[in-house]
Amino acid sequence: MHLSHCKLMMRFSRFLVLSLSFLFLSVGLSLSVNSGHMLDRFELIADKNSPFLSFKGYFDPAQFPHIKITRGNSQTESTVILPNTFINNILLTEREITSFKVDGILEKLTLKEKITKTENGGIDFYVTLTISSKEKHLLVLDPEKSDSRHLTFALQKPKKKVIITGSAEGTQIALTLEAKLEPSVISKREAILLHPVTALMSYRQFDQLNVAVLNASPKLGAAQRLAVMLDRRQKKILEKRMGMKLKIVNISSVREQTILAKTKIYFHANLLKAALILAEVLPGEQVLEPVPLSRNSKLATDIEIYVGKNFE
Amino acid sequence: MWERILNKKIYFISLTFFLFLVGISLPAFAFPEYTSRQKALKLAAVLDHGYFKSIKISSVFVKNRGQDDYYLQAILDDGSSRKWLINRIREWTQTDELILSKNRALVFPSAESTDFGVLEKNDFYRTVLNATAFVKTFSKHDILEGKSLVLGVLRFRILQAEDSKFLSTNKLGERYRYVLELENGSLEYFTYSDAFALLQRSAFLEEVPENVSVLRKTFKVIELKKIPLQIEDELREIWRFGIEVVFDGPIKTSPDRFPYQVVELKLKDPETGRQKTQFFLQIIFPNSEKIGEISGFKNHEYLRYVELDTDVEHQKRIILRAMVNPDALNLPPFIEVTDRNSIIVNYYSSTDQSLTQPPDLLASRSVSEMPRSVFTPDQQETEFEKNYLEAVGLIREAQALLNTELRIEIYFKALKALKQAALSAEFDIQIAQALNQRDLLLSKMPKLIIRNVQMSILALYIESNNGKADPEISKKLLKQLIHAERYATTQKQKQKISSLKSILR
Repeated sequence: MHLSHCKLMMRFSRFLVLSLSFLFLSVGLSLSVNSGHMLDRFELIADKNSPFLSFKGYFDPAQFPHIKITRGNSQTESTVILPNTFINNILLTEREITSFKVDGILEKLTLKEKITKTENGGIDFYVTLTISSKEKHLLVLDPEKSDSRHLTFALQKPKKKVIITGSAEGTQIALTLEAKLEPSVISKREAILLHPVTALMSYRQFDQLNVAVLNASPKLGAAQRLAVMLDRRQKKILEKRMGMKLKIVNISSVREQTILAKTKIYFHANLLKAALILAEVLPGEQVLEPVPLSRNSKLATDIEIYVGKNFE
Repeated sequence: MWERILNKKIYFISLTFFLFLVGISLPAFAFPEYTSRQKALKLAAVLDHGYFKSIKISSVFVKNRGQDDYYLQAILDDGSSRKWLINRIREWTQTDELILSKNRALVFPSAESTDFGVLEKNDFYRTVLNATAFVKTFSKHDILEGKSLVLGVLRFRILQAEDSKFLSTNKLGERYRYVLELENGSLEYFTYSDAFALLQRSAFLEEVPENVSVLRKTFKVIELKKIPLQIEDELREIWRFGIEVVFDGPIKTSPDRFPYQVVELKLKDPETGRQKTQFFLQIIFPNSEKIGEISGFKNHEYLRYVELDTDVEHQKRIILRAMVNPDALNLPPFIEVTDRNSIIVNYYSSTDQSLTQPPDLLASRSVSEMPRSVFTPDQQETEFEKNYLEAVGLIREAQALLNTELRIEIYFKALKALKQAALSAEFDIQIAQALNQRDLLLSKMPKLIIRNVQMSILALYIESNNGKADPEISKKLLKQLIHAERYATTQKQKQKISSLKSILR
């Protein structure tokens, strides 16, 4: 009787280990593909200097840096590759739109959705937008006007000649990046937001802190472990000390093979205090920096934690 | 079934299989082996007539495995036919086993994508040899990420065997090929991918625009000076103190090129031997050097062990480091570039913990996407923005004045601007901030007015022999007192106001 109980227990424990293993694997796989964008509709916003092409739907702002914009066959054509994106077939039925205003800048917009199986057996889905305009334009992502519900591109007049290195036929990359040389002109509102005291009069006070945790360490799942630690074990302490709710909005890996020696906490303006409280709670040594202006935008995250090599 | 599955042998096989699956999922972000049809066709054209391990490539054609997975098949001059996967092509280009014809180099700038570029090396040499300045743009995760400095070019060289970085690679496995010596004494090493990206970015300038200042030498620190504590904002009781870093020449760089960071260090307590967490506030000065010993300070307000160090990880960078208590650090530092060859780092202190605490306002609930500041994301100035900016400007103007009478006058104007801002607000956050600001101003005004009236009466008493005040001045002061009475919060204030009113009458 006693022996049969033991056997039963042993079998149960093995069953538990196996179930948990497969559960972990399936959760891991689903987590790796579960975020992306969904295009519902679009609109062309007229503007004297640069009109905007704005898509509405559901977007993952953390994936905006992976959007690729390339020049098409002519200077009036641009191609945008939106990785991890689906088109809402109910709301956005047309795949080729030519019905734009006669005096408007756009001529044609085509949308192409592609779903393929990857080498690793996963699913790769993306949407290719081809934008044709009447005039020469430079299509750029406008992070200020993009968030979790909008994805906006500005159609700018080209300021500088596109430098294509090498022969055009062999070159795939033709980015137009202009080095900013002139001292930046700071507007009145920027001057106010940049000064810590005047910023106090202008920034909204938060009652919820949206945190993204990204893995920048060679250890697999480090971001997940840190997120679990924050969300389960430290959440109450943190919320009490910060005086606001803590919400983990994104857990993912840094794609560009970045390995950071120390965990880095990027915070938006006016959130230094919250970042310091987070750093105090997290194990190991942290580096805290304001989000660089080049990356600064109206993203849904207030704080980004890049989990470094030092996270145990 | 479970009987069978859970027997020892199958259990271990299953567990091993699971661990294997985890193992193979590790290189999920490895460089792709296949590419699209369009890219494969272009790549084949680029590789044609190149050299593979010193054997001439006769022809390259495109093959596919599935519908979208394309790779290359190469026929070499020795008659052999090779299957070339894209990741292998990338590896061979990195190790110079695959060389393009016409003095070109194949580059794969991204570690995840099969996007490629062709560097025309001759074009690169011509551009870099004619360049007088180099636009250095700092890379991701650098404290200066995205910012640029224009540095004078001294000399360009192709790396030789005697160079320390000869045959060494960057984190993507690409070999360093070139070195650019700059006039400030720093060295920039480039891989083929770097050269390709720099050409694309127009980072080499033959002629420098007039309004751009080229940094031809480093800023050398002469001394550190303390700036004493003074009031910055009487409404929120924020105090300011600073450290002035004096250099050997004018600073021709904007203040945003001097960023700050907070670094957490676990240091061993010499007394207890335990690890103790310490926070250091660091201001970074690029293109700067510390030539001799610069003495720091042991204490300056809430800063401890203020010292200037050379950054060991980056060239020509110094760090102004100070130990801080994180509880005292409510506001970030602010950098000012002066016209007397110095940079002032302003630090702020306040005992008011509510500065960083969220107000209990419905308007602050982040239930949906809300702008971070009261300003709308598009750069167009709204009516609210115009009025609010005016109010903020007036408040700051008043705070810089010593004359209390004038300060009160300007605060009254700011109150009017805030009212206009509230009336023109379009969002809850805007009206909430305008009203908050108004209430803060109103709460501080009675104390200020009482002090001003007291001082004015005293001055009038001393100045006039008959003890009678100018009726115009009395009228003005009385008006101020009436305003103060309406918003006085304590009984003591009310008593003082009524006694001052009776004196003036």
